[in-house]
Amino acid sequence: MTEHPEAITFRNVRVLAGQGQLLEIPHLDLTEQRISVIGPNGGGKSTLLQLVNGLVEPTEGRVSTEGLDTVEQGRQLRQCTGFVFSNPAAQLVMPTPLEDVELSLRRSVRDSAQRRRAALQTLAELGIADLAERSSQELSSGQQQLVALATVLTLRPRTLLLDEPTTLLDLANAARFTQLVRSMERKHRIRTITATHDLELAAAAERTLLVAGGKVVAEGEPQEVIAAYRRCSTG
Amino acid sequence: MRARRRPRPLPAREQVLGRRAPGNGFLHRSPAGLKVAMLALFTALVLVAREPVVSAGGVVLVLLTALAAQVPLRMLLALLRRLWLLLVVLAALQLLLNDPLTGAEVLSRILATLLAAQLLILTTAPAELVAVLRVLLAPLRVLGLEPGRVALAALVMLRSIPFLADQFRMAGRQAAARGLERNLKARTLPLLLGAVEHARDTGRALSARGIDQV
Ligand SMILES: Nc1ncnc2c1ncn2[C@@H]1O[C@H](COP(=O)(O)OP(=O)(O)O)[C@@H](O)[C@H]1O
Ligand SMILES: [Mg+2]
Repeated sequence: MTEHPEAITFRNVRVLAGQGQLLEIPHLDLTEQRISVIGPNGGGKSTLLQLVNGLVEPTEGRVSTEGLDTVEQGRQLRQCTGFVFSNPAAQLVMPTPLEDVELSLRRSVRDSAQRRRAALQTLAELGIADLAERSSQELSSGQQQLVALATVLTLRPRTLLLDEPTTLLDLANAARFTQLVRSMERKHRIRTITATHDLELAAAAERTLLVAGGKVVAEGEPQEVIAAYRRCSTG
Repeated sequence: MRARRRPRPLPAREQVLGRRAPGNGFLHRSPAGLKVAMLALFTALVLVAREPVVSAGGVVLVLLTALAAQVPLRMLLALLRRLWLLLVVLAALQLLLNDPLTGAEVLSRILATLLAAQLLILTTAPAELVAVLRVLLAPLRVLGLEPGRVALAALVMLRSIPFLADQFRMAGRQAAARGLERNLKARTLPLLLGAVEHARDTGRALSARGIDQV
């Protein structure tokens, strides 16, 4: 790795909703290129991911990504951070994939012809140029998720947050999605943080976090953390 | 260093039904039908009287009843936190259109009835409320409507409010993640799709369980 990405840091972080505590992270630095987050349903994975780009703001403490404070510079931060959610259909808002990718570019590329070219290029880069003019709501979930990825990658993010991106996909589509993310990660030096229940996918990271009961209960070498998860899930 | 902006608080998930006040005061123990009848009577009185003394007295009466029934006032008044915007708008309108005394009367009238209804919900199990609702809906049979089905529809509707609130928040985050905070379509379309999907799934799940009324 030639370029060492700046760290994502959590300091004395607590996230509360009303009286309840959703997540607590006293101290955590993330510097690796590829990170995975595993843990039971409701453990706090989505909350952790959304803290990284300021979609959820820490009730106490600070989170900073690439040197930007997620509360103060949230908008700026989100311009260089992509987020893919697990529900494919709910992420697409325009009638066709092409228009959806263009929508992402609306602020950064003023000229509409140029915008169209950039959008088409992103779709082609992901191997889904043939979907450009199809109706988004009629695509398969697998195709929709690739389009969702395109709407995010077209902005050339430095960090990509993937929240259970393959949970609702079949094996083939999940594999295709993962492979695409891999190649983009390498090609554009994107840092990825992936929350997933797919332990094979989780194992392919450089570092794994186990989030359960609103805490990071284990972290480090993927195989060890996954083993710990298996132990605590099967009692 | 300049003080940082305060983080936006995360609203806790709302629950419309099924939030029972702890304890077992006299309201918890009285039959649901009686409580509903009292609520109807009280509401009718307050609405018909339109007297500042009656309306303000109604609010005090509800609060005293809550105390006597060992219902934490915090839980009762939580309603105001949820409806504050509506109440502020109402108050502003009243001040514009009416004199302050009438405004105060209208507002306390609304408060008295809302708080009384909240007190009923806090001290009654949802299943008991549904049973009362079925009895009340019984006359609908003449119109060919099954009371149990209407009651089920009402229940499903109440249950879906917190779900929709979650969806709404999620749609907002999905839009914000793409820098589309101000894009109305990006903020609402996922909510609409989610709502339709949820309705369809709920319907299918209920019919798969063979449930078409309560
Ligand atoms: N606004 C909220 N109010 C109350 N509880 C919430 C709210 N948002 C999330 N939660 C709860 O916080 C916990 C962590 O949620 P989440 O981060 O989505 O977990 P995961 O992604 O690991 O399934 C869950 O138990 C969830 O129900
Ligand atoms: Mg989640």
